[in-house]
Amino acid sequence: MQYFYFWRNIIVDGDWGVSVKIEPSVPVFQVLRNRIPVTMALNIASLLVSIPLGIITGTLAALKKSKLPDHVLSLMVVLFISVPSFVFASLLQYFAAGQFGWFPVVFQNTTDMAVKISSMVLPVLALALHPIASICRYLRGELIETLSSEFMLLARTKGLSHYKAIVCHAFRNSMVPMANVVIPMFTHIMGGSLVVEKIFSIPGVGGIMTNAVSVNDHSLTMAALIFYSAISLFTILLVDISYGIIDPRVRLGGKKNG
Amino acid sequence: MSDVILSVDNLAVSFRSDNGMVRAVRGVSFDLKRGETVAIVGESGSGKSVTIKSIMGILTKNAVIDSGTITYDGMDLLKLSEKEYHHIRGAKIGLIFQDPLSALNPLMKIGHQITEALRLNGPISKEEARQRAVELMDSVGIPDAQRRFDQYPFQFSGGMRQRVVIAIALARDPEILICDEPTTALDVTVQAKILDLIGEIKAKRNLSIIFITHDLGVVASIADRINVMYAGKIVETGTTEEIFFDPRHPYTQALLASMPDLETSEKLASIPGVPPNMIYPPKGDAFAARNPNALKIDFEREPPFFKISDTHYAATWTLHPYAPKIEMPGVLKERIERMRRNHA
Repeated sequence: MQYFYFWRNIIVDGDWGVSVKIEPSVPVFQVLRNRIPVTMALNIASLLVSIPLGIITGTLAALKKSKLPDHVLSLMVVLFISVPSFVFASLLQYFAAGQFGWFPVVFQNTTDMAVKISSMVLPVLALALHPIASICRYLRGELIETLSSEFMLLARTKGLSHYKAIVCHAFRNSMVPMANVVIPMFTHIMGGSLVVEKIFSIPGVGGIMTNAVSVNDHSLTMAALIFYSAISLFTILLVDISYGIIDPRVRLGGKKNG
Repeated sequence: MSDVILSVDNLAVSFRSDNGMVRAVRGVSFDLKRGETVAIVGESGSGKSVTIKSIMGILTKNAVIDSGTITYDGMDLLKLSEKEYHHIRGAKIGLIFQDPLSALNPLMKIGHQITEALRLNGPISKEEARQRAVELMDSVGIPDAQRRFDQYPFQFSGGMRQRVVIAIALARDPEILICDEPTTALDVTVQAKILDLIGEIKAKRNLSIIFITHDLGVVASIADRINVMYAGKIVETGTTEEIFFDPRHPYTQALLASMPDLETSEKLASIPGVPPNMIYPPKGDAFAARNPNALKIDFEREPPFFKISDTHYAATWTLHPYAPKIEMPGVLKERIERMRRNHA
């Protein structure tokens, strides 16, 4: 019966209950409210770092196919994809922060933006390595296929330079499947950040969720999970919409062009 | 010789492969005169596409040019740098592709793909480029060009897409148009329309055309001269009449005999065997292994070109004065008689 009331409160009043252990009697979303921006900042920063780097490395690998840069990048891709982000997080923390002291060891939640940003570098990097590698691998494959397509030949027989043909024709066409990879990658980064936040003591949703699970704070766990689920669903929606923007063949129901 | 606009001399191209060098083209020579249509006929793998890709400078990276020159406007195209080639490709020599379905960028508006070429000629305003592209689309027979300009390739049929490809090839007003099997991927009725269109634009723009095909029926209606290619070599060259009414090389004869037509009820003749593996090109006449009447010398020594007339040459030992007389197969004789009658 209590479970029924719990759900009725959620549906009717939007009342998700209060935290029982971590911050007793505080409504769960109030607990999360301050943490969501931190988590989002961390994850979006990782994504923003990984997209350009992934595109650059992927393009490089595709254009230098079967040459030295391609082989080196392929090796790194295998490494970054197979080793989980928390291993890199620990290694980076130990070497770059602990041994060499380039960056703060843990997250500094101060108003001094320079310090705050420099303390975010390592977690962002740890989270970005996997997405960089995935983007690089997918883009390499896509670009190689597009580069050998007939319309690239046509673009060159028109008289376009090799560089221009790649930029104008190959790139956008390779981006179609990329949307499918990049956007759900956000969910993946979020998963990685559960542990990485803990390692760098970042006051985000991931940290509080692992705590909530371990101390049986059910309503807080539930709220955190709902947050993650909402993000996942939203990214999947974004993927579907982005297809229509990138690929005109997918735009359905349009009457403009008949 | 001043009316020769493009001259290919002794071109030989090989491809590196895992199993060794593939000798795709082995010494091809032909001239293209101003305002003329030259056809290159041959089966798949005979080296016709490689020949025109060498002319366009779009060979794949594993291709090696062993020898030869391609002379256009006093320049050897094979020696040009990639940058110099940009002034040739599209601007002087246009190319129409075999498969219009894959030759257009699926994500780019048709109009943009045409204006992109137009703008390479020099800076023009957006409106002017649009105006010119629409005119161009009109001239290749695309109805309702104003509206079609903003559409994507997937909204076009195969024939219409081929017209777009032709419009792109013509955008920069080239002197030479190379057609690489432009009708192979199209329906027969559309084929005829595209051939008519090519003939029409040729007359209007005084183009010189190199026409690649494996379909002799297509060639008959459009070509002035025909080069028959087999295993990377031209085996017979002559005017269209000479090739159709007086074929001398056994391969040309076999090709003509295997053309389907509506008038005989006999079983369609086919050429036995398969083309040679070009990693190990045959020593003598490459066609000897598939020729039931091959002479001993065909397997041992490469035949030189024997002159039949000023314009008609064939590389076959059967034309040697000492060679035994070999009668043309009866089916072919009948067919040539019929073609002559229809022609006259």
